[in-house]
Formats: sequence, structure tokens, C-alpha cells
Amino acid sequence: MTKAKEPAPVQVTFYTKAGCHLCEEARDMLDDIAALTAYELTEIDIRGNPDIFEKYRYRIPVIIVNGDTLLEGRIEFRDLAKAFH
Amino acid sequence: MAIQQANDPANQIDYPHRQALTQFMNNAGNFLLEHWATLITWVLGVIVFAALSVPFLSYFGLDGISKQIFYALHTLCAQIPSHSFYIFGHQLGMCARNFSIYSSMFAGSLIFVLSKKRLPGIPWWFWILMILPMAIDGTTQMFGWRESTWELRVITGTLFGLGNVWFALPLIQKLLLETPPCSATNNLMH
Repeated sequence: MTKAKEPAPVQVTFYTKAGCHLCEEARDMLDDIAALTAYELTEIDIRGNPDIFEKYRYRIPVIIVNGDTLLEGRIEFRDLAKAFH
Repeated sequence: MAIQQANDPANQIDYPHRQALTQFMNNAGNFLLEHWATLITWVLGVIVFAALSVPFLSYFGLDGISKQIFYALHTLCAQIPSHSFYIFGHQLGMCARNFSIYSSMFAGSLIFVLSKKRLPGIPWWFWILMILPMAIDGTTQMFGWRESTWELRVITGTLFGLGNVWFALPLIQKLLLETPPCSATNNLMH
């Protein structure tokens, strides 16, 4: 008897920075999503890499779901939830 | 009929608080008539100061207060990061356009108050001319036809804010000066 394969968990990359209020709000939304759906989160502080910092400094919070869906700036919960489905 | 009842001494004896309330309302009304422009300037000044204080508070580690002010200002502005100014690496409480609007409205109303409310207003067509650039810049960006720049957001926002106060405040003052006082109106009714 073979066991049914579980679908691969959703991969989420979250670009953030300390002192970013919108990032805190986005982080809370990700916590709310975690209660509904399992996902693997990679949290990246943009100050750790100059290239990433230049790319995202005026865009954070940036959330990339499964490498394709990108949400940034003022993120709405419904848009984030939609990205997980 | 209502005027007769209000002037009836018997009614005044029955309602001793009525006179105090009327007096309070009259004083409040007179205060507003005298200081309405100053109050508007204060409100605008507080909004601008709050938006400016957000990055400074974050910089000095007062994130708790900064966060509350930032969230409160969301009622006035979408706070899109890519449309905002940054101080010490921290986002202002408002986007560039809204910050320009409120700053210019604050500056305009301050000038109006300092001119002792004598600053002449602008005609309606000039007001339309001043708000038109922002309407064009904002709507074309909103529909995704083009992307604005921070320079355009500041210029059009400033024109919009200045136009509004320069048109509205002198007009309000003119209407207040042309309106006869309540006591005179009551006298006319008698």
C-alpha cells in the first residue's frame, strides 16, 4: 500500500526591515495565514545584502509566494490569502 | 411662537440651565467665528507634524508611538512605500503627494491667518487651474496609463493644496462678514 504524496508546502519569501511599520502589519497577516495554511517562510532583512537593500528599500514589505506571486507595499489580507490558493 | 416661548420669563425660571447653555453656545459660536481659520491651521499643522514625526520617532527607537501615529495617518493616506519620502531610512507617515497637499494647505492657511484673514481669494477658474494638474497626474497613474514621479507628485500636490486654501478660506471669511449676526437677525424678526 502506497501512501498518498502530500503536496509540497507553499514557499514564502518575506523581505523586511526593522522599524518598518507596514512590514509588521504584513508579518501579522502571515501569522494569520499560518493558522489556515501550512507554508515555509524565509524571512530576509534587506539590510543584510546591499543588492537586496537597493532593490527593495522603497518597496518593503515584499512577499513572494512560490517564487512567482509578488505582493509589496501596503498589502491587503485578501490579496495575500488569494496568493496562497 | 417659538420666539415668544423663549422670551417668556416663566419659561426661563422653569429652566435655569437654559440660560447657561445658551450663553455657552453663544460664546462657543463667537469663538469659532473669530478663530475658525486658526483652528483649521492648527489641525493641518498637527497632521503635517505627525507625518514628519514618524521617521524621527522610529530613528530614536520610539517605535511604539511611531507605529500608532503611522496607523492613524492611514485614515488620510494610502502610505504606499514607493510613493513616499524617507528620513533616516524610515518612511514618512504620508506619501509624497499627500504630504505636499497637507504641507501646502498648512502653509497657505498660516499665511491667511497671519494676514489677519485679509488675503484676497482667487476666482473659481484659477482654482480649477490649480487642481487640474493633480487630477490629471493622479487619474492617469491610477488607471495604470503611466507612472508619476516624486517631483510631479510634489508639484501637483502643492498646487492642489494651495489652490484649495487660497480659494476656500477667503471665501469663507467673505461669507461670514456678509452674513448678519444672529442678534441682528433676531431683532429683525421682532
